[in-house]
Amino acid sequence: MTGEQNHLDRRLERAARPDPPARERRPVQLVVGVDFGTTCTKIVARLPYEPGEPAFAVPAPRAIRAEDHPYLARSAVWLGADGVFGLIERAGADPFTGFKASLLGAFPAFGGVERPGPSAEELTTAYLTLQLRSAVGWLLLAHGDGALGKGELSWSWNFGFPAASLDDEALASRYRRCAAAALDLVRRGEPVTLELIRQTLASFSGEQAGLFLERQNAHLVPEVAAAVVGFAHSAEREDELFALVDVGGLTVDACTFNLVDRKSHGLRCGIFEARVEQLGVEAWKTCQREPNGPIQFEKKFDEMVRAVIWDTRVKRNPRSRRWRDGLPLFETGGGIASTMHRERIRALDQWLRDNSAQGGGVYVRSLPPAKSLVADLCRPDTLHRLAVAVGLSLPNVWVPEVWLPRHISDHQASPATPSCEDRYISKDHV
Amino acid sequence: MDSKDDCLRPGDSVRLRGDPSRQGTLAEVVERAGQRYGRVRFPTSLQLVPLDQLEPLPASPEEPVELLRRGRFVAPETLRRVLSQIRFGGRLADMLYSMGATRADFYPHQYKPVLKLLDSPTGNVLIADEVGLGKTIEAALIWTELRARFDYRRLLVLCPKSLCLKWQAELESKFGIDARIHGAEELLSLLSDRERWTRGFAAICSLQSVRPPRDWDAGEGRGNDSARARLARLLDDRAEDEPLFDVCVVDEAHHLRNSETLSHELARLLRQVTSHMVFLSATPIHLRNRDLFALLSLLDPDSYPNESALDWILEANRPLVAAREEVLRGGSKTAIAAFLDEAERSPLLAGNRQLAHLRERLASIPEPLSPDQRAELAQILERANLLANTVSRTRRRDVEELRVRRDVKAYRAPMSDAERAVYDRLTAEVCGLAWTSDVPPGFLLATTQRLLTSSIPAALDHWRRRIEDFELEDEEDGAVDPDRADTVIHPVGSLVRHLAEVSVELPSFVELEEQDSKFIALRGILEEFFRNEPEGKIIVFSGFRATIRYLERRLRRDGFHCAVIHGEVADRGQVLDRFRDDPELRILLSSEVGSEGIDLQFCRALVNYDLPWNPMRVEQRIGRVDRLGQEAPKITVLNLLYENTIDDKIYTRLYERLRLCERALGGFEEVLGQELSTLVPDLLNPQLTEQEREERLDQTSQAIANRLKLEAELEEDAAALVAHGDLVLRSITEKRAQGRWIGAEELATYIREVLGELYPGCHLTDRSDGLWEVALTPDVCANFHEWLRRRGQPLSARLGRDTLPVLCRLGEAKGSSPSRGRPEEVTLLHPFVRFLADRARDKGLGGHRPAVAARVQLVDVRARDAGELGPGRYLIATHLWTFSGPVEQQLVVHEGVAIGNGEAIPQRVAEALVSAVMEAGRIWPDCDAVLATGKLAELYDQKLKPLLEERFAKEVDRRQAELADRVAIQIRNLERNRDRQSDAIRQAIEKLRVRTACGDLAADKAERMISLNESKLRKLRSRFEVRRQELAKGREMIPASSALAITVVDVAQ
Repeated sequence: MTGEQNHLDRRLERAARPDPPARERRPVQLVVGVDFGTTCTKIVARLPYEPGEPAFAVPAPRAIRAEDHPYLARSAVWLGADGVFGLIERAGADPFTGFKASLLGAFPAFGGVERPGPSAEELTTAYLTLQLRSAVGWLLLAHGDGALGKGELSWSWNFGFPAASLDDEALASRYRRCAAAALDLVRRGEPVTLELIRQTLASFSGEQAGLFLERQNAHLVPEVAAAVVGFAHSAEREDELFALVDVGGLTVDACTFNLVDRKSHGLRCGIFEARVEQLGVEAWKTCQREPNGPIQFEKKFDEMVRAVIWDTRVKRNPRSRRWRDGLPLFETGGGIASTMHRERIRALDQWLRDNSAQGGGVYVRSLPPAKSLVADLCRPDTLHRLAVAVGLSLPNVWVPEVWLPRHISDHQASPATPSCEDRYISKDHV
Repeated sequence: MDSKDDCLRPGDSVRLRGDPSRQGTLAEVVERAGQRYGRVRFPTSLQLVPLDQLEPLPASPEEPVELLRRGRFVAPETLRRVLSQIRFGGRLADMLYSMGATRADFYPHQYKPVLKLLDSPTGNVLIADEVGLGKTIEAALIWTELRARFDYRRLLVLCPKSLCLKWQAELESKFGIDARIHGAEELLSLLSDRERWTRGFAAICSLQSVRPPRDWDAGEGRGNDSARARLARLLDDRAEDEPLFDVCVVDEAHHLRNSETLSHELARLLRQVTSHMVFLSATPIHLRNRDLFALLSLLDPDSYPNESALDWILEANRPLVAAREEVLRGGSKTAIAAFLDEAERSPLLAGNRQLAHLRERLASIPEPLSPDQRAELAQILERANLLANTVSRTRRRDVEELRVRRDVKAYRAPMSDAERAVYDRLTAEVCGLAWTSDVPPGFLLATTQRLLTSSIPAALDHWRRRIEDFELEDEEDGAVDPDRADTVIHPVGSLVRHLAEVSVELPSFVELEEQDSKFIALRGILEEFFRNEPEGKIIVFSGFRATIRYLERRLRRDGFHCAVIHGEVADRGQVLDRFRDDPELRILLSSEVGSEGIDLQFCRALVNYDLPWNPMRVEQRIGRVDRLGQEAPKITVLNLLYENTIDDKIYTRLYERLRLCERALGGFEEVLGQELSTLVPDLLNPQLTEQEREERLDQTSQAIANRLKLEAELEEDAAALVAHGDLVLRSITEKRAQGRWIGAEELATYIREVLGELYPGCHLTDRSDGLWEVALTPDVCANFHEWLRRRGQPLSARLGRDTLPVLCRLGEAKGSSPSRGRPEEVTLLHPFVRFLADRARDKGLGGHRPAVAARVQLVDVRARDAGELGPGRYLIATHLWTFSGPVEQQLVVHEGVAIGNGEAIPQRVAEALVSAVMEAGRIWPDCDAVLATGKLAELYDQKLKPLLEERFAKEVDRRQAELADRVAIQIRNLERNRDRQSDAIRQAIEKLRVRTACGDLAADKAERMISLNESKLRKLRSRFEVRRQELAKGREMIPASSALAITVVDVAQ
């Protein structure tokens, strides 16, 4: 463990020192994407205006890896009796996990630290500070003399923000404070203590956090937008309808959206329907212990995802050619390795074909592989775990503007000339 | 920090400061969250970029070396885009665009004519391969190659009528070409309808159906007004206009050999309206073969204006050939130089620049010559060979894939007494009739006799049943030469009637069938074969439908399942498919129709139930199995004979003695035919004794042996004359290994990248096994439809029709012919790929000339024929050479050095490195921090650039020398022709002058004649001058060289 600690310390120490001298007199922009998850965190940094837009996945020190994946860092901190936070387990220190769930206050049944001591905000800030220091240190150690030394480094940051919380301003404000405080501390050398965290958080009240983040080129980015931003800027993007199912450890997010290139106004990601339910991999494991649990679970999963697609089909965007050509569905998240989830998603195709007069089904598509992603330590088939972090590493100005379901009105079918489709009543309607 | 962004204004051309390959136009400047951004219109998208990341585009493009010097590297994708665009442009001289673009299996020798034609100064070629090597495929590969390079659309195939369907099937199944069989009227209408002509076509015509009638040029209304005459007049009228056909293939081109015939006339007319003529003929190529001249004079009349020109060229070639042999044999420099001296003494080669280069090169190399140097010299000599690029000749023995051993066994069935009685009686009747009546013995009697030795019960049954309705049953001779279609001899019913009457007195059919010793032998053979090869299939050949019907009945009765093909079976293809695919169907009974143009290489055994007396027929039968694609090392040929019959004698004294079944007979059909036509009457002559007949057989055997030997010697001699080109074969194999063809992966990448750049929203999904699902956007479909409309082409493919996903097989076409429900085959030739390449060129994709820094794994480089390369860092320069002239050609060339020691690496390795970077290279972002880029630029200037300049100068020199030498030879031939004609006219004038001295009426006439002749002489000189000027233009070539890219590669273990 000492070696691991030393390795981490070297990173933290390097983060506290200045950027390397520039080889050329020009700015080099570096975007750090932080996908802070309930159980693990992924960080990818990118040079978007350099040849090939190289993106570096930041490896997690071995001692804090999640699922034995080299680029997944466990979302956990240790607080010692001396009041100092650390990422690695040490004697006498208390471990804290699940603080993201608590911060968002969304799912008390599955996480949330309900005990005295540091608050979820404090734990989140401490954790993010340490993770960002570790990432910055690694980037400077590994690439400071190389790609990052080409010009004068200009850092910017994108933090993933859960799609389920898109409309909750109070929640967003809490998350902004944590991110601002963490960024304020990231290049400072002093130990991350509970006291320091409390002081820093206290200095970011109200609008200050937002202004600070703006000055730091830091942004909260909806995760759904982050998941598709790579696709939105890929050759495969089209101004049409898509579906996305994000299977997490805890929850499953399903949504339908389209991408519209508004030329001089940039890309817009319009979300037609979105639902989130506790149907993730952990929930699946739990329900398997109960009689009839799996059947009920699969039914709930089907109902949730089908409802998203069907409501889009009949109310929100019935004219889309996808109902004839087939609806592309992206499956993302660490949970897509779960056989049950994969099978239920694949069964959507036949279900939609059986229920649509136009004959189009659902076909699963992969998000395009991350361009120029340097992530040599893991197998290519596990790279999908970094998809959101990779999206977050793109410049914020490239991220599509997200329109929420409430911004998009239902399609009004003309009652005078109902089409065949409009006349069709499916099993789901009766 | 520079503040170049301050001076940027909307409308400026800009690029990223960090990535000079990303260029666009600044549309507007906007502010977001306190930062200034430029909205940049890149060629394919509009994107916000921080203003401080932009800089104005330099007024003139920077050379790759400047970008290298400043460390402004771009990613490997840029290199791929640059080179892909050039590769897909279809002008690269060293690419084989036809490779992998068809369903034909890969055999290197079949690409030899493609390379020859591309190098041919006239654009025409004679393919004179031995039989069974796939001349049809070779011609179709030429068409594929030219289509890919020049977007050709109009193909005409001329062949004997009997081969029209075969051509059609082959073009469809292996090349996906929808060729239609046309007569003169239909061809005329095709050529007269501008819309159909523009759209393109593949037409197959029988030579007879389009051959002009004798009085075709009498003029409209005054002579023949048939479709053939009108077609001939159209071809003649359009001689000076745009070519009507892009490629004209003439199969069995030896039918054109006689310059007095109308077939020859047709070829002459076609040559004037066709861009490329491809002649196919298995005619032996040797010095005494005047056919060669006849064909060459049609292909290249400037070089072969008369027979003496061919002799002259062949004579001049002789020392070149000897020099090449000497080089390859390991001869000394002195010996090689001696042949070169001899060559230069030929007036035709005096001052030849290629030979002068060769001399210089020879002088510059110290002895002993290395294998590589010998190969280089041999290659120069092959190119200098005056026939090298006009004739392509491959012999069966040169083709590795055809080295199948033939295991030949004869089964002699002893006749029962009853069989002997029937045989003797009927043979005597046949022979007697041959002498007592005036029946042509060679055809009818031989046929009758052969039917008897084929199967006695079948023959008897046939004759008894056919007394009233005799039909020609010999399928061998039923396949008549189409040129002799009007001379088919109809059999004389009286012979059959006589035989039927005689057969009544003979043992009954039932009795003969029961003791049929030949059939019993066959059954034994089949039982043994199936015991040894439980899944094997076997073909039983017979020349007679009567025998086949008999065998079918008897075998079925004995529990053998048989497929049957003969002239009366309508859908032979379906029967053959069933025979190939149905594991229960193990025996194919086939007449001679099954021995022509049908591929049965999935079998490895055949039985000749009867023996065609002409060995070429047996060779054709064996050729169905012993052909390209036969994977077994050995095939079995089982010959069944009645013991002590005419067949037995012929077999023993001809076939066995000359080992005719053991070896492929090449192009000796004519030789064998001539000898046998004189032998057959003697064999049936009742006045000859048995011994005399045997002597006659021995004489024939000896005569054939002598002729074969002589032909082989002449062939061997001529083999070198037309440059068999083992070096060409090597270069084809190298091209395949070095990736100088468009493979499936490259095509998929290209389509994906171009679609991605130009039409975002389309997607390609890899469905494995080489299948891809392609979904297009409405935008690209609309543009594609418009592109087709402008070119007058129909929307025939599924891909590009609409936005529904289409399952495609990209790249190498596979399997059998496409049909509904099968994946669409998308090769370089697919209209959608052509559309994309056009759009990419118009949009300037791949136009950047970059410096690239990349990392690759050693394994990726070594997989590309560069096994000797070790880990390290390398600098590679890639240049584009363009040669515009009669045909525009491009070459992409590479030179490289190891950065560590500055030593040059072989060109092949440099090319392999570039290929590896294109396909598997990853960005090397800190290259400029690790390496001193200024020093790299110096290395390029001092080492790579001079190397490339030197190579370029040599290549220009070589090409100019080739052009100049060729034109010089043409002009010399022209001069000789002019001198000969001038001399003749001058002599005539001299004679006339003598007459003028007489002072009578004859003198006046002579004066007028002298004046006419002098005018003729002046016209001759004038015509000569014009033609000479025209030929001299063929020397013009504009060479250009430009730097495409410089690549720094880090090769890791």
